[in-house]
Amino acid sequence: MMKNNPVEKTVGKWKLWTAIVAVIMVVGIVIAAVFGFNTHVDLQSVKTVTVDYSDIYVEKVEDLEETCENSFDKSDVTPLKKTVSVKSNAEIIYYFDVDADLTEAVETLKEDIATATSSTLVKVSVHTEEFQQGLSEDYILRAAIAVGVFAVAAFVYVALRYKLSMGITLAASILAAAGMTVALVAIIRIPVAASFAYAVAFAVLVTAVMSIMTFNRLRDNAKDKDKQKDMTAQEKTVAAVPTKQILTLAVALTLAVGVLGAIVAVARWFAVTAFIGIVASVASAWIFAPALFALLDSVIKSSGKPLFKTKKKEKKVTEVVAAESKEVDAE
Amino acid sequence: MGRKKSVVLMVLLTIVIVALCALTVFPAFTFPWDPIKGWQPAVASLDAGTELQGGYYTYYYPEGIISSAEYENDLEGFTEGSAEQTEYKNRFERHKGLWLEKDRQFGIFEDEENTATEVEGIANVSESFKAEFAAVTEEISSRFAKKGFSQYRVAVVDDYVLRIETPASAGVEMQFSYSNILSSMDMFHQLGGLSLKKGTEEIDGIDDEAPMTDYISGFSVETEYDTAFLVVTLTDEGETVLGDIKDSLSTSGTSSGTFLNFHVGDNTNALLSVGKDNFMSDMRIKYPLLADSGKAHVETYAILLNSALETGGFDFEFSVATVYQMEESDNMTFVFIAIGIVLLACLILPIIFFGKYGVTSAYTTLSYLIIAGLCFVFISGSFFEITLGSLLTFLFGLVLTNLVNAYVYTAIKKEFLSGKTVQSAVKKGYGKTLWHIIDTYAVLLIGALLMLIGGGGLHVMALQMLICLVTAAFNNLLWGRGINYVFLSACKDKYKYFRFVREDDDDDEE
Repeated sequence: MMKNNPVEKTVGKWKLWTAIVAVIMVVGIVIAAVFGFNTHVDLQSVKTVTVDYSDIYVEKVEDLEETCENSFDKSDVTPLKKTVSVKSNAEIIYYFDVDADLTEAVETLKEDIATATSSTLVKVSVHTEEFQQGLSEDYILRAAIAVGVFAVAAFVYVALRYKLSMGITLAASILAAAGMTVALVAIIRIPVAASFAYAVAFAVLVTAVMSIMTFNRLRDNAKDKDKQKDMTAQEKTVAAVPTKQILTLAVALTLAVGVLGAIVAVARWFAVTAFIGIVASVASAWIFAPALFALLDSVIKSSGKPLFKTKKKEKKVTEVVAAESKEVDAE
Repeated sequence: MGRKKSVVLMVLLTIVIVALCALTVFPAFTFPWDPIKGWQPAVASLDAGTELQGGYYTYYYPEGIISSAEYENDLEGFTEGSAEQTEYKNRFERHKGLWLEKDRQFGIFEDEENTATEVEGIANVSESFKAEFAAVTEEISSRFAKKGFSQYRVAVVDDYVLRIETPASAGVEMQFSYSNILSSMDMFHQLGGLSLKKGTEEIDGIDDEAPMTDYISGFSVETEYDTAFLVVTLTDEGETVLGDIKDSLSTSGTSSGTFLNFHVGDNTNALLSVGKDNFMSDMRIKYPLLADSGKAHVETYAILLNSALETGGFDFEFSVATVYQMEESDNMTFVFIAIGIVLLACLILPIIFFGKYGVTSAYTTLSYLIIAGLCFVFISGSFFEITLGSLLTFLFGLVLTNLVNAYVYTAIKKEFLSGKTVQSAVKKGYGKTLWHIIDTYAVLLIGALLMLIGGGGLHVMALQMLICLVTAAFNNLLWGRGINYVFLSACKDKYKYFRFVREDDDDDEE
């Protein structure tokens, strides 16, 4: 067991952690219900400034982009996003907040473009785009169903391969991780796009990996019956939680996601969402799950045998019992 | 395995891995002596999703509405101040960034009888036009939703024009990808009702006043031998009516003849031309669009036809603007740079921490890159683009591969420190970690399979997750062990290979 193991302080407090998880999820639900999610520009209504250019300018698109962006800087307006198309008679679309006042900025832009280019080739117009749809109606429902079904399937697999209490713990921690990720994104007001579902799926899978690490240790430790027989469920759990491995996985994934967000500008908010997912996974698998397991294990009082006995295991148990009784007879 | 054999195998392995890495990811270049020819790595063919700003978009303009760019271009075609230019200007009314034809035949503005409601000098857009536009917007949005794109966007521009964005790949083999985009963007603007004709003649038995749902239940897609078919299911009444004319139809594929033609709206070109051989024994119609149509391509037809069947059509027409391809700009380059940095870390850090065992880990990292990269290109890349979920999935598999290697190293070291020989510690370490690793990947694979329930981008991510997890599991459970075995066999000092130090070695030094 690690000295000064931080898990020692958390394992016995299942009521506290369950309450915290529940509060986070309820607050997230309330905020999402009242204020909605903060949507990414892809799922928002916007104002756009469209710069149409002749195919002569295909080679000079970068110069035109620079002219436009310098003009916007001068007018103190910042586009949320830019789309450049590559065909002839193409256009650059700059996206702005739907409430932005672009009248002066567009006039300045027209003057700057006229100065830099031939104005008959480049046309500037302002439009409003009212977002209609970017996710199919059942996208969120199917994502939620997928997470729910995975929780059930994971419960079945772990309950059969390990213990019933572990199966229940895994299912609960998966649902807690998914719920906390969604709630934290709503609370912190991180812009949400269709990619949000990827981060939730990621959090769920990372939670499963972290929880399985703990269960593997518990199963290995259970083989040392002499050491385990005098330990309470809490002590067994504390001894088994692989803090270093869980945090190493979390840090490695955070760094990988951080590099992606740092270098790919369009992936920045997604990287933040994925990071929230990692935090939720750690909270779920490192704090919530061990506390819950310690409670469940002591309640269910499972002896470490698999859910179903196989003939091979029965034979082994018989041999052990026979060997023990021979020792007793010899004594 | 003998040392010499191991060394030869190591060298061959290295050559193969380096060659495959180059094939997968070596940066593109052109030959200095021939700028047209050059080299492109396999990953260069990956399409970026709309989140990475790849993809296509187009505009649907209602009849009588044009963009301000088109208006200004047309105006410049006239002599400045000429009567023609004035006449052209008078045809249109400005509405935000659009120009609307005032001529009442387009139905955009109120009828002349209602001009009392006009604001001075500015005509009002009619309520019926607004209501019709809202209805067709909903219908078109629903059509694109049914396509199952990983991401897409339908937006109303300046109240009366639609802008549709879709990803670059959309569920067909690569050669059909662009045509699939074109087909959905080109076809979904059609808003007429469904009608049937025998050749160019009306069909006796089909009542013009009755809805087509009286004769046709619906359209669906089936695949057989890699070909997708559009399947038309008829109602009992439809079977009776069409059963009477079936034998008088020509065989499909003949250049001239009489066919059962399915039309949407007033389009004189039939969407489907069904011959007598397309009727099945159960009176369903099974129609191949092209000999090797992709399923997604046929789904577009099914969605349009079902929509025309169910809605009965709208009295509204759109024209489709040119399809614009979004420039991925430098996003994919930055993506490759980011992945490259993570890969570099995964190659270097194990060598720093684990010595020569880290080299084994580096080889499994490169193997993961090659297998996952090529699978993305040749399996999922044929159907799906690279999304943010794809990147997350790839990184997750990469990190997992390396951390599992580290876990195995820790287990081997623990066995060694308990007093075993290196060979024995390796065997025991692998043995003790085997089921832990299998259970971990089993749960993850179950998760990835069940994520297929999710639609759109989540479905795409799940498929790519399966590729990454299977690759990572293969590396950790089989390939990595094999490489380690070869390298260990070739190594003179097995202690140094793992950076192990025996306590009694320390004692000897003292």
